[in-house]
Amino acid sequence: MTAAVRFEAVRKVYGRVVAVDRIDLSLEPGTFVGLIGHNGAGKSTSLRMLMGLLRPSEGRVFVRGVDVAASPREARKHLGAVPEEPSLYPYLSAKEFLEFVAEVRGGGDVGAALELTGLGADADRLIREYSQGMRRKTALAAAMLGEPGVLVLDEALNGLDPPSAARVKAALRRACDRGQTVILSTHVVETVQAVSDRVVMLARGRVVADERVSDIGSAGLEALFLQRIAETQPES
Amino acid sequence: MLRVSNSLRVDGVVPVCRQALVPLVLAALAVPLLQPVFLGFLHHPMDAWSEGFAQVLMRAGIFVIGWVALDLYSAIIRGEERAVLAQWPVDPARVVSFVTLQVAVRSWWLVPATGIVLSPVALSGESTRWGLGVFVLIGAWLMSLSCGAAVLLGAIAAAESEKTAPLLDLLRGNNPRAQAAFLYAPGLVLGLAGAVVVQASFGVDGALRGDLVAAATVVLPLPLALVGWALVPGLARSCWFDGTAVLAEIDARYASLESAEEALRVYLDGLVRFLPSRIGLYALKDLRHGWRSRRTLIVGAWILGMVGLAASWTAAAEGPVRALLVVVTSVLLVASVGAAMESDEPEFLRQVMPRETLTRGLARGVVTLAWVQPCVWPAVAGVGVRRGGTEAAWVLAMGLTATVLGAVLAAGCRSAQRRALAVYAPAATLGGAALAAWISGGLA
Repeated sequence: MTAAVRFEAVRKVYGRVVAVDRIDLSLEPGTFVGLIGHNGAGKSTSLRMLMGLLRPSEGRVFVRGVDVAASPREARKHLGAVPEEPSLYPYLSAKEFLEFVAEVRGGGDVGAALELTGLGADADRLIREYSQGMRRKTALAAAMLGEPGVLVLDEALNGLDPPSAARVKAALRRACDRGQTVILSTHVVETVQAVSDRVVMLARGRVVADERVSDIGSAGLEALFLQRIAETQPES
Repeated sequence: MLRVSNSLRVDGVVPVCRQALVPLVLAALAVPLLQPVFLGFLHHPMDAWSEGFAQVLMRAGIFVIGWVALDLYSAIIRGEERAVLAQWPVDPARVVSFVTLQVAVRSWWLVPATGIVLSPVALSGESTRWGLGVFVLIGAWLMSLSCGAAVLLGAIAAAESEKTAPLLDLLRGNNPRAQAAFLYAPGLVLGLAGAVVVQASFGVDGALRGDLVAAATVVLPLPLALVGWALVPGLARSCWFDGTAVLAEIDARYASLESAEEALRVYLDGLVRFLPSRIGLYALKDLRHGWRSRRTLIVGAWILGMVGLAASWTAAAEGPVRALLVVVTSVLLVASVGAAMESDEPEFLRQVMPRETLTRGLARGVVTLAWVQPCVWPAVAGVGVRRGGTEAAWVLAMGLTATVLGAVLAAGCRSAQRRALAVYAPAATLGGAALAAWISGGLA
């Protein structure tokens, strides 16, 4: 079976700074992956390469077997993404923006996406009048439109009110059950523990742990995270 | 269209009308001021008009191309559409077509405004000549839009190509290599499209006499515009998405350099560093931030400064006047950076810049003075070699006068804050036109 996402010896270097150091990763369809790591661990850089917004210095990234750098448009057809700082059209309403995305994607239930993120009542207001949280909800709703094969969410639950966050998490879980792959980057270990099937930990640009959440146990994820982070610190 | 109608609904029609009509009103107001400078040939017998008309048409055409090239660069390379759409499976050909159309709508006034400036030719009885001139300007506008889009997309490919790497390394200075491709792309549009428009401008007289070759040069911008437009879809599909990754590399490169003091240095950094500390600190911040956020505009004005050298390189008596007109335009363009930064300068700069008007004005004035050097000296050198030291000194003095005018106008727009540029543009146009009229009178 073709992997939903594959990182093949991916390296990203800025001058002398190694942001991502030879990541090899393969994610199956229908998996909810929590991506955790401290600030500067390489999470956003990895996800931006997956979204096609950055190019690897070495290696390749595939989405459903499509090389993201070689076939950017084809790869994006399989992707729904919320970058760390989503960009939206300020002079469109959320409903108009989602209708536009649905047209680009070739379909999608705009009403359901608005309802899911709790934007229904504000759907006709211009995005420029929205709070940060509402903008993030709009970006989330747009990413989920048309049920793309892979959902990439970079800190996408930050700033959401608790009821909305709960609704979105449940919807993401259902998406996984339907065969979509979800990659959620977050600092919140509890979120990963609650919704993920698999956790990938990054430190200093490397994968330091890749485990099934069910194998870790209820109290173990945070401990494992801290242990692996400590192991990657250079000896003084 | 939805975005436009929403914007109209929320902001009203006043900003749109202002944007559409102000350039035309300004052009009409500038006609009496510009006529003695650019249309002096109207006082000669009609059969001696051809050279003068070709010269002014060429300048108008180059102005149109330069304006569109810079606007197109901002729209295609770093525009809002890229920020929003780069993550979606959009058809890049449609995106670039739409963005180019947006620029066309935004710059629609260029041909009517330049046509108004040239209108005394028609009013003096040469309406066919004027009509052909407007035709050349339409061709220049269309060609700069379509060929400009093609060149800018090509710049994305060039930014990462190993074949162009040696050339870009020669040009880039302290900038990342990919940035050099983007920095010089508008200049390349100006150079290529400008060469065609120069031919077309000088072909007008021949076309009026029935010379078919000359008529072909007048028409040439239109088929070239079509060729450029035909290239856009293919280039967009192969390059547009890559542009986002290239820009990310450039921005990351600048960001990774930010911590090192050496890497913070920009053009003329060393000069400002040795100013008295009272204004030196502020001037340094202003210089660095202005260079990073507005370097396309500044480099564009410098390229215009090189045009000043070309204009000065003649033994003809009117050479210094022509060179000075280019110098004044480029200097006022550079000075607009001060006004532009008033309209969108980041909070840190607002905090660090002095509150006292005089110190702030001095700091920003020193930075403007530093930036105008490449606008003034090429023309001064050209006039010095071809016409002698006295006239070169006069060009230098007028260049400095334009610098003071621009700096004072930019400082005066401070109170308008977010609308500073909207106030500066008409004020500088009228001030520049008045200075141009004075210059032409001074030499006459």
